[in-house]
Amino acid sequence: MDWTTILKISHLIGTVLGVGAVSFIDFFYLRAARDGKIEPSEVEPIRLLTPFLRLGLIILILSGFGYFLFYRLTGHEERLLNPRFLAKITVVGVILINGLLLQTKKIPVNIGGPISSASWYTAFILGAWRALNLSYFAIIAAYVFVVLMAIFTLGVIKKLLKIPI
Amino acid sequence: MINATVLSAILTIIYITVITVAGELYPPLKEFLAKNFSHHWIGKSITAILVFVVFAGLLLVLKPKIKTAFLLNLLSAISIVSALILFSFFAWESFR
Amino acid sequence: MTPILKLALIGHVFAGLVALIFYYAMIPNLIGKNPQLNFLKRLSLFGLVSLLVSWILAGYYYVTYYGQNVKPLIKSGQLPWAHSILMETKEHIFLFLPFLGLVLLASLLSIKSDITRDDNLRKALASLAFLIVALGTAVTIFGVVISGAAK
Repeated sequence: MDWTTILKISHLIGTVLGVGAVSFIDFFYLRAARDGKIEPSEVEPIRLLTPFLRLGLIILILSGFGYFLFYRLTGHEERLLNPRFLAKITVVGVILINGLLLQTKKIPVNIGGPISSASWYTAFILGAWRALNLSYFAIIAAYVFVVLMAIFTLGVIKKLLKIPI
Repeated sequence: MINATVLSAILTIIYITVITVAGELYPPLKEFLAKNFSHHWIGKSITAILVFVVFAGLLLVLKPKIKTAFLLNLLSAISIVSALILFSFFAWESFR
Repeated sequence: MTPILKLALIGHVFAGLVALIFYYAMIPNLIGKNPQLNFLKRLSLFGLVSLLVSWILAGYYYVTYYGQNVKPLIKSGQLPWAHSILMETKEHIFLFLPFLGLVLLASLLSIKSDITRDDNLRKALASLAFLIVALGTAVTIFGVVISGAAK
């Protein structure tokens, strides 16, 4: 097995854990918030999934930098300045800052939750969409739009399902 | 002990910033470090450790009575300012 | 690049990243209602050790290889400021980190009072941990751009 395969598998595992965990956390949160109050037993699935989210993020960051070093050492340095790659690093940075703000309760879940989900899916799509040929700023502008839409959509879902919190 | 360590770190970070800028503005200083430590960066690393150890020792004896939280915040502030000074200095040097 | 230099390059990046992960993990614990002092001490110790390993490996690579082989490439390339601004800043800002890490560890080891009751101290320590992560992240991003310019 060569290094590209090892890096690919690691990166995919990190993505699967992270995107999977954040998707189920969102589902369990909405389910718990449905009746207007979140019971401790309803928080349990979220509490159990959070370590997987963190593990996914760690694997993603380490394997991501594994890719960076691989490009550096195999004469493909120009890929490090690829707008898609730089945008992905930015999005992962947002995931980390948002994670801290959520954990320290400096940001409400109604804002931090959609930012987290939108960011994970954006990072996933940026990784998969190899043919994407936009500037860094265009990608970031699209990402900001996606985040705002995610916050808006959560608001709409809560209104439609009559979720008071 | 905490206060001595924090104050020493503050002085060390100021030292690193000053010696870096001074070395760029006065090349013989940079050459002095390179000559005596085989490379200017190794010289800065080793002298920074020495500065830290010497001041930590002195301050352990002096036992400054300042609130630790204040000193920690001061350390953070000085680190940020020093980092910005270094970045700005090198940006200025690059474009002049 | 010799195998040892490759190891130094790879090692300094991963040691640095691992350090940032440890310090990042400290922040919510410090700010939370139940900071766990032993856990924080361990994270702080591992973080400092990782920073020291990164310092040594980065220094070896920088002193023996970068100056003669990579720097000329960058300075004659399309992004010469990647060296003159980013690398110069990075190599000096990095020197702050081990001392900041040492302060954090020393503070946690020396705490006599109940850390859960001293809000100001906890916040100050959290700010310091956050600063290490922020400066470390800047150093890392600069490293990505510098490497990208080395063609």
